Amino acid sequence: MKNMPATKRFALRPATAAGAVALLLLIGVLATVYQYDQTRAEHRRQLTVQANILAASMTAAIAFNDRPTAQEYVNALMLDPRLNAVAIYNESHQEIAGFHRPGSEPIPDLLAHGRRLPRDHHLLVTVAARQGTTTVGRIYLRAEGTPLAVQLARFSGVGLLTIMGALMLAALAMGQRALAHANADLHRRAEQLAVANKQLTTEMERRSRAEEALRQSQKMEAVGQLSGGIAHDFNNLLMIIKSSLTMFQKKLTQNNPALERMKDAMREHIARGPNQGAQDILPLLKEELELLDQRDARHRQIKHYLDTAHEGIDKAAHLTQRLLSFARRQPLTPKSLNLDELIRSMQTLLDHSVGSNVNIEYKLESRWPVLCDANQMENAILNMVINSRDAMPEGGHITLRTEDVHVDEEHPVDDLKDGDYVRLCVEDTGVGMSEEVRNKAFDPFFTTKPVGKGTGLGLSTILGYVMQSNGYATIDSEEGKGTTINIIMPRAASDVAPEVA
Amino acid sequence: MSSLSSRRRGMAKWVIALALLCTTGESLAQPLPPRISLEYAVKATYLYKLAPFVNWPPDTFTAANAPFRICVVGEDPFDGYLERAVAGHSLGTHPFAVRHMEDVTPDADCQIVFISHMQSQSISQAVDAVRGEPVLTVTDSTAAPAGSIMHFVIEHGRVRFDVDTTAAARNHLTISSKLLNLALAVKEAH
Repeated sequence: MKNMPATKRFALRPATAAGAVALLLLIGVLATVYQYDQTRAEHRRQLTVQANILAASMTAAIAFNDRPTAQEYVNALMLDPRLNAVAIYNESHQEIAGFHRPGSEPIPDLLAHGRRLPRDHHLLVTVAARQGTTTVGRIYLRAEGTPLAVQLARFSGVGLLTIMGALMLAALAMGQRALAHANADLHRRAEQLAVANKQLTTEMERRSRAEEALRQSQKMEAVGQLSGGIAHDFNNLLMIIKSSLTMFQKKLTQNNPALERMKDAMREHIARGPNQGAQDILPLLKEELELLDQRDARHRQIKHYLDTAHEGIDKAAHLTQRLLSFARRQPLTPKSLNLDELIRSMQTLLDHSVGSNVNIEYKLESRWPVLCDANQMENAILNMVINSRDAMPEGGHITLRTEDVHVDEEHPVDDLKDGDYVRLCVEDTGVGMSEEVRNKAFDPFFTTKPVGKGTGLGLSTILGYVMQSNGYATIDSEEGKGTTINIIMPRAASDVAPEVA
Repeated sequence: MSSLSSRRRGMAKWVIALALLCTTGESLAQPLPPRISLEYAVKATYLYKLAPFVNWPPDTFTAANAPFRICVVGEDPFDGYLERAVAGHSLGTHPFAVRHMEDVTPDADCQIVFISHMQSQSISQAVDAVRGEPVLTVTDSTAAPAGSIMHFVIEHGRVRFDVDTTAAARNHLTISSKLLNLALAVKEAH
């Protein structure tokens, strides 16, 4: 509940409602008590007035003990049905007159005996009968208390109002409560919707990323198939050219024994000098020999061109090999081998490749064998090291690291299934890559090197090879903070004996 | 003060009141031992009880605390009971006082003159002596009525009285109608 609407501040909470009901009831009770008290006081006042009138009119009868007259006054008063009993006492505390209805007690001269007026539901008032300043006696009047039914009827109005109010408040509170519940429900639902919406958005993003990746991989696949197909045919053509050239060279360089013999005979004949009978042939022979030597020299020249052509063909073949490797059509000869030993065997080569201002540190700690093509693996390592070197024109430090990695379901590493792997890392302290570059680093023909220096096939070939070997390759890099290329190869089955390449 | 202790005090009061009731109930019922007849005891009481029912003129008393005199002329039939009966009673600020005299003179400082039986004067002479003065004249039932304002009468064994309002008016007195109500007979001026 982060942002409750303003109406909530004035909401009738159950506690508030209960308080209001209690207050209402209290007010009702107070009003009832007040009304009861007022009524009683009014009744008492009326009774006192009656007593005063009686006292004033019968002082003489009291003073002179005229009981019949006094009784007449009393009888007249007792016509009031509310009166319960009347008693008249003279100053000697003798009863002059009195009356009490059947079932009620006569009133004793309470004050004469130092007693106090009893406090019960009856109303009892007493006044002194005075003539002028002289007190001649005392009058007691007692009225019936208001019957319970009458009192209840009198207060039923207030009670009804109070109960109605309480009921109304309760109904209001319940309504409010229901509303609050509905509000909370709505709020919860809105939150659920928001969560669902967020999930949906995330899902959509993930999906679009996946689609992008799929498109990319389809593109790569197409490029791979295309280049692979071309490379394959081109390779075949190259082989035809190469074999033809080889045959041509073979034929060219093949010595013709008859011709050699003839050349030897001719040289011998020339060396013997002018001969009898064939003197005119000698210059001809010399000329012929010279022509033959010239032919040999030409052959040597042709051989040189052929060698150059061979070199070109070899380079082209190499390129097609790489293309094939990228397209994963390269025939591999995987063997179980130990990466540490492989790297140690090419340590000299690597050290020489990077030059003097870059040093390579070897941290080789893997023990498990991997199943891969040794030549390709060498190629890949060399390629990566050279890439690292190129990333450090000012010199720097390369770390070659191998280690055994166990992946289980509880600790997944990237997208690898659980199992044993060997990881090879090539770490450098070079310029690093931006995220954009890193995302494209495995794409074929992508290169940051100047034109003619890089083919853009290095890393893509490595990825192709690694994936063909059921491995996995990733790049960790940040601009200016160096690059680490990780290659993760599955552990080879133990029954395949490790073999040094 | 807590309600408990106040209630205890209340109870204590009740206990004391009950004890008093038991010990003094007898004396309260009969405060004075009757040495005279009940008739005269009642008459004595009537004499001082009359005072409030009479409207006395403002110059009746010379001082605020001057005594209210009840004068018994001639023989005293109360045998000193009247003195004891009025003791402690007063009309307003005027305490009752009883005076005995042989005859009535106009300058006698009396508010009520009771004449029962006398030798030196006739009763009418005595009544006439205070004519025009603010004096309530009361004559006993034993004598014949002789122009007094009030006259005791015995009827059915009860002490009653007659009132002569004309005589009262002569003496500048008005008698309360309440008292007139109780009177056996009222003689009025026409």
